[in-house]
Amino acid sequence: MKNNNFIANTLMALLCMGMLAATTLAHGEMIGTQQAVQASDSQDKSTIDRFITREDVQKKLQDMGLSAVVTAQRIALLNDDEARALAEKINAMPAGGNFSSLSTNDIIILMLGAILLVLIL
Amino acid sequence: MRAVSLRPAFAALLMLVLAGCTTLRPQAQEAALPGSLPAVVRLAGVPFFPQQEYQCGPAALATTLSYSGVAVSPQDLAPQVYTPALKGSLQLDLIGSARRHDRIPYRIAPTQAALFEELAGGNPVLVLQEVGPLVSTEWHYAVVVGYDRTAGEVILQSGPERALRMTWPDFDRSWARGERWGLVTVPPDRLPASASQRDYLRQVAALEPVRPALAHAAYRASLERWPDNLGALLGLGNLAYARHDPELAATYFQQAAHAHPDAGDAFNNLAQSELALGRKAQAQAAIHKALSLGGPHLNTYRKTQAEINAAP
Repeated sequence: MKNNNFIANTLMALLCMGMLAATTLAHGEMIGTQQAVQASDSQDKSTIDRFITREDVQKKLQDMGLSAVVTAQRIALLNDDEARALAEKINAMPAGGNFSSLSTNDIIILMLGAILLVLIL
Repeated sequence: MRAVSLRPAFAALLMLVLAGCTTLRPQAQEAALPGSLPAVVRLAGVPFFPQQEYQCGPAALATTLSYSGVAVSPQDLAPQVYTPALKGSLQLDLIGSARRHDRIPYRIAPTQAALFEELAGGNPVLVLQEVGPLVSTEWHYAVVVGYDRTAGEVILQSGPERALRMTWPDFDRSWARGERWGLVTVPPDRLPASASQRDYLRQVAALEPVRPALAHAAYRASLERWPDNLGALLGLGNLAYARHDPELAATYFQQAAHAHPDAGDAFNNLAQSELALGRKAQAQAAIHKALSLGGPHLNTYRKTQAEINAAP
């Protein structure tokens, strides 16, 4: 049983690696448009982990409370670099949502300030 | 004694609060505005979707998409852009959703001039702001629908407000915190008013792998505005090649190589197309030219050469 799992896992890993290789070789030795028009010193590309798969991205989004169908549809509209950037930086990216005059952070800072003021005086 | 020891902490906190308010100074950009821009612009007929809780992303995107002729409501867009765990919408999801509705999401240059040019050109601009009177990390999307240079104001549809007026310094402070991110969503046959060749082609090339038909239309429009644009010609060639039409691809790459004799990429892709057409001599000639030009993709040119040499 254990052996079977090992074989299954190895197969899965090989499959994943194969899929990644397939996406990079799909265009033969053509220069893609993105590659051609990008700045050659593009820093974004070098900092993004090349081994994040679209499946990893999908899992990350599903962890955010989205269904498998919705996440698949969203990722399908992003190119490989964008999908990887999303997976890597999702928690650091701004997510616009609220419109309030006084944010939670403001209230916390105000309260901290008040407490400190009381302690100092 | 105990209270005294807290003084540095209080000072540090105060510094933090002040730093949050002052690190990003508004750009002194008024002087840099092109004189041709009208003094006042107020776009008419921009749909207004008052925002429900946390739904400023879907509301703002529905505004710009509807204005550009896509019939969508914030409710339609919410599943495409809103992420419950983040209580908000990510920029990349807004970009993806615009692509889904066959609109080109174009991030404008982060300047007042680009923002005003788009408005003068008839495009409302979706902006990311950080709002709140003190230190704040509340990200918010709004749509800029007008400006008034004499009053020094911009006019926004924001949250529940149909016409929120902000002075330029106030607006710019909130805009600067999100790296002055501003997005227009335009049909592919109409270029954004402020589009620069380089930025527009980069952003179209970015969507080519996921929306080839949309990219195709945008490349055609680019060539109308900028005949001989290298990115557009390479893009049309690559799309033709991907559709297994090396003959058409070769014509685009030839045109690109002719207009840009120093573009090694054009010669490399021309060589590939000639090889696919079984014209080995032409492929050899093109790849020799690419190799002599060199550049950042030289390794790919060498692989192409090896492939040509190995061909029968």
